[in-house]
Amino acid sequence: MTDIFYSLVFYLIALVIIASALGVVMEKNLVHSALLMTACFIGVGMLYIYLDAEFLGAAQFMLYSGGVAILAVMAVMLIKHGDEGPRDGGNGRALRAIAVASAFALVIGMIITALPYAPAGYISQDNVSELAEMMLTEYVLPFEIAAILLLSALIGAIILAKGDGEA
Amino acid sequence: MHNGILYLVTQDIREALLPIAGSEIIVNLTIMALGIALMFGLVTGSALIFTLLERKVCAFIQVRIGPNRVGPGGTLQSLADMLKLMSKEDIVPQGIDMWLWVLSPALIFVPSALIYAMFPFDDGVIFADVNIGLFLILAITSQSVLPFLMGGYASNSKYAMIGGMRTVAQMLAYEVPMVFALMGVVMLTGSLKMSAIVEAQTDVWFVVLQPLAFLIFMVAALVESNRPPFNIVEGESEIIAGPFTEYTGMRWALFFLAEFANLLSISIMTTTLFLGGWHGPEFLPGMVWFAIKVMIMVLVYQWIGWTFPRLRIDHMLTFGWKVLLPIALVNVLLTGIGIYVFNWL
Repeated sequence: MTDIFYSLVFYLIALVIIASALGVVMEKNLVHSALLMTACFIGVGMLYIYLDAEFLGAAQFMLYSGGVAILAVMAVMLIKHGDEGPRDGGNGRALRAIAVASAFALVIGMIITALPYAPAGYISQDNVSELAEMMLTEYVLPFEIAAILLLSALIGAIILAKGDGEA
Repeated sequence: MHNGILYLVTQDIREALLPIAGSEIIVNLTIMALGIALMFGLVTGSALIFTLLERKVCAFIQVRIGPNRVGPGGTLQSLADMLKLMSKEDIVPQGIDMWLWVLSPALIFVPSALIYAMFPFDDGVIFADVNIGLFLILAITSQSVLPFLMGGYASNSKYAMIGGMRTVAQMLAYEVPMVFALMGVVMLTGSLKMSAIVEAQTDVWFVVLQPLAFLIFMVAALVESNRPPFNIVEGESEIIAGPFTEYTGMRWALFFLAEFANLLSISIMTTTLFLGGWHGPEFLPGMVWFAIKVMIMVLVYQWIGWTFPRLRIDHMLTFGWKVLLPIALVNVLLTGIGIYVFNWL
């Protein structure tokens, strides 16, 4: 009973992710594509939570669908309206695209069937404190390097936006 | 174990249901459905009461009488409002992006209602007491930006579009100081779990230990929920009603339902994070203390809203990035030093 319920939830989430990802590619309106990408991000976040990585899932919600997606939608909206117009979507390379896609699917399928299933990973009872512990002890150097990288990106963004003289 | 009244009642229902239903799963599902129904009742019920309260408080502050015709003392005003909104014509403007326009008011309500699952109403009375409680609440709240932008874009009107842009600017700007302010609370608790945060305030409320964070949180929470004096998203005198401009009837009411759900949830968050949650002297049960504190916070937020004039967008963004964020960072530093000194003593 519980197992059925669990797999049902998994397939539901997978359906949301695949449907919205397909929508991103096939939708002709760019804003709709960007919004569907948000739905895809949320689906991936739910998948993380489903797989017992709650912290990663919440971070996905906050950073991707709460931050990245909004920037993407804004950028798309600022593009001049009416430029895109109705398109038929094709560019005359449908056959080649199908060939590449099916080759890719074949390779991925072969890899999945050829490799043995990985054993169930380590499930942490309290992955927030364990993550914090690891970040500030074992992996403190990469953590600090990432922080410095982000800081320089932040300052760079301000200088780019403000111009050399003002900042 | 826990001794919250609602928790004990739930345990009784569980025991009574178990022989009838036969299986643990069915009982759990029933209890969950009951909890969800209660939560929705709370959200919609509070919206009904808050519409009246808002107008009464506003009238009191502006030395007016406020609604006093429908029912005794105007108490049935919100019911009359609701009937009016439901019977209104559903106007669909031309040239809109139909799908997004319809979805926006519905989606706006989802994050506002969803975070109620993580609020501890009493000892043991919490729908989902997850490990990452506070972080999940913040993550879900951050989802409420996009529906505003969607509504603004889909309406295909200048005012709505400006309103949508303003939402993004102000919500992103104030999310950062809010998270940093709450970092102080998390550092003191050592956990993101909501029940643990309340537990840590058994002796001292965090408003005493984190006064700076409390003030920053109050400002940021008002901005995040578009409450006056920070409601420049709708700013009637400038852009009519922002993203809501093109909506009528029940669709428009959904935006307001979400707004009042947000007012209640920022009051609940202030109470839970800074005012000791359901803790209080013994003579009243925890739930009552919780309700009293939340109502006081609702009144305080309304008081702030109707006392200060609305800010200008550029002033507000400058204040968020250049004043609140540095103060919040200093607060994190001070809290760190404080914890270090406290441990060393």
